[in-house]
Amino acid sequence: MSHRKLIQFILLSIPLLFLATSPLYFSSYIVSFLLILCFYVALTQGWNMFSGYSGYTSIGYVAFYGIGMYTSGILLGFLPYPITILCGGLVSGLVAMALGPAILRVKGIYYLIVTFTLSEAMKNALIFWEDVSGGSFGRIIPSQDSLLVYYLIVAVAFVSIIVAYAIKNSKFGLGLFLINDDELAAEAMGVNTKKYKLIGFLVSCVFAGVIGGIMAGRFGYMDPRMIFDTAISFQVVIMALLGGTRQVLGPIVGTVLLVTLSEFVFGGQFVNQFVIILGVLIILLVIFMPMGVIEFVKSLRTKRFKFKVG
Amino acid sequence: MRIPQKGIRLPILQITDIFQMIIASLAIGSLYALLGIGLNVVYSVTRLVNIAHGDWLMLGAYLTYSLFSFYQISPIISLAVVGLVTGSIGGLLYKSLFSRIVHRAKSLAEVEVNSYLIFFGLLLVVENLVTLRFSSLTRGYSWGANPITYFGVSILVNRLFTAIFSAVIIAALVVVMRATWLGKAIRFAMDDRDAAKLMGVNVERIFALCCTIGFAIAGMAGNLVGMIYEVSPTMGLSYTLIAFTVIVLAGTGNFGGTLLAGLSLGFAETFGVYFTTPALRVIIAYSILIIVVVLRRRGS
Repeated sequence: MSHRKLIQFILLSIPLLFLATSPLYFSSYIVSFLLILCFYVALTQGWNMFSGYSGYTSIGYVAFYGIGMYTSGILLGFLPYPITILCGGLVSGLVAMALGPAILRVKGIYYLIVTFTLSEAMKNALIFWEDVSGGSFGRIIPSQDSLLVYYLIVAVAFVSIIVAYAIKNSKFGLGLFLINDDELAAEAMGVNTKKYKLIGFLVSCVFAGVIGGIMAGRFGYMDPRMIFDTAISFQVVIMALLGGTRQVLGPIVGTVLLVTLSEFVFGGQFVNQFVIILGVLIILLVIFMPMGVIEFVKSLRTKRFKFKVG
Repeated sequence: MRIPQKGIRLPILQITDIFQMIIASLAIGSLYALLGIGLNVVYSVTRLVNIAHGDWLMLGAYLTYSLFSFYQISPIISLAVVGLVTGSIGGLLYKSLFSRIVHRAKSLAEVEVNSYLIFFGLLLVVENLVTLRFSSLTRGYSWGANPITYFGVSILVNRLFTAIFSAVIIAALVVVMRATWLGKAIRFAMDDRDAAKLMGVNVERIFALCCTIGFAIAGMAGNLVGMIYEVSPTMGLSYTLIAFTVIVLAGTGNFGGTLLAGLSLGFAETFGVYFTTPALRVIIAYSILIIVVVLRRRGS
């Protein structure tokens, strides 16, 4: 086992070393691409550690990201950056704590609708509440050193991977998987489903809040329509499904595939052609490989193996 | 620019104001009911979670818009054309995509999960294809925007038409469901699809039919929406949410209740906006949705 742990450690530390040293020898364009990549890895992993494992698919994850971002952005004027990030995570967690017991009572499509409506309602509430959002001009906030933002995002991406790994290989993670398979059976087996769901939801939302808190320092400006962008929630779901939601590696693979496609084919913009490809991709995905790319590749290998034996 | 906060304006509420608002609520509420019933036909029978419902509506609105502004075809005539087009899109999509999902799934929950993901993909495709063709500018067409006034209460012709058309469609659906053999078969397939299959009901054909009807109603609702409101490629999602609010209020499979639910949503919105500010319109609708879903606690 320690042998396997060592391999995992090396596998994790090579990309970490690469990402940590890349500002030294890459242009700022590549660094900002890596930042977006790590941002989506962190966000997708954060989404996956609750929604992916437990099957409570949320398409309004951006709500908690936005809460973190607004908290951090508003506090940036009078508090140092690291503290505002923590405040972002804290407020996001508190909101999740307050809303969680209510919205986790519903499941399936109702959960889907509630989470989506929640993020849209928050967006509209902020547009309406002009003292905070600054009306149609947005709110100007002091922007931070871009290298610092980059390192923080890389750090949070790795922390999210480690946390997702820890959850997956724990009794807690097993409980979440069981909730996905059959919630009634899980309850009958003695899993405290209410508590498990709330904790999972909380952890996931705190991650979104912290990521939002970090990203507040990047743009120097906040606008509800830009932050509570449904495209971010949708992309997170698609990336996780593309890779496969039952592995830690899944969201990473999905993110790398989609972000690279988006960056090098379409220049990193949400152009219509890119979104059409996303749509077609998700349809094909559901029909032909509902378990994600990783499981699909694995099944190809086993099929070929069987063919050789037979 | 700040929106002035208005307090409660009860003192200046006059009797004609109340009638005016009731008429407005009925008109908008019947449109919501029409939206809800289209979704209800698809969801309650086939269990396909049509989260692109508002996008078929948007497609219908754009079709009417282009027929009206390029070929000068009246929206009344294109109502039938739009229904036919979006209806056949529904039937074809069922045959090509959803039929696989329905047959492969081991449980209804699996049908729901897989279908909303596919509809989600379709939503992205449709929305962006329309944006590419028509740009993301808001558009609209004007038909019947002249008021008729009776006893000091006025209503626009297009809203009156919307209300009557919605009532007719809903009544027709309720009659078909209650009084015909087809309706009986549909209700049987809704209750237990496996038993219906064993009893000789062609479930496959009924599902395809329900998709066709649901999509056609959505497209025709789009035609009506375009007369009243502006049309844009991203308008779909807000209408989808309204439709879901209606069916959550009414209960799945309850077609008569859909009318009641749509109307009460219309009343809540009109009166809510009257006593607060118009900027809160969306927030009121969303709050109703969240509260209703959480309190009903229907599970999956």
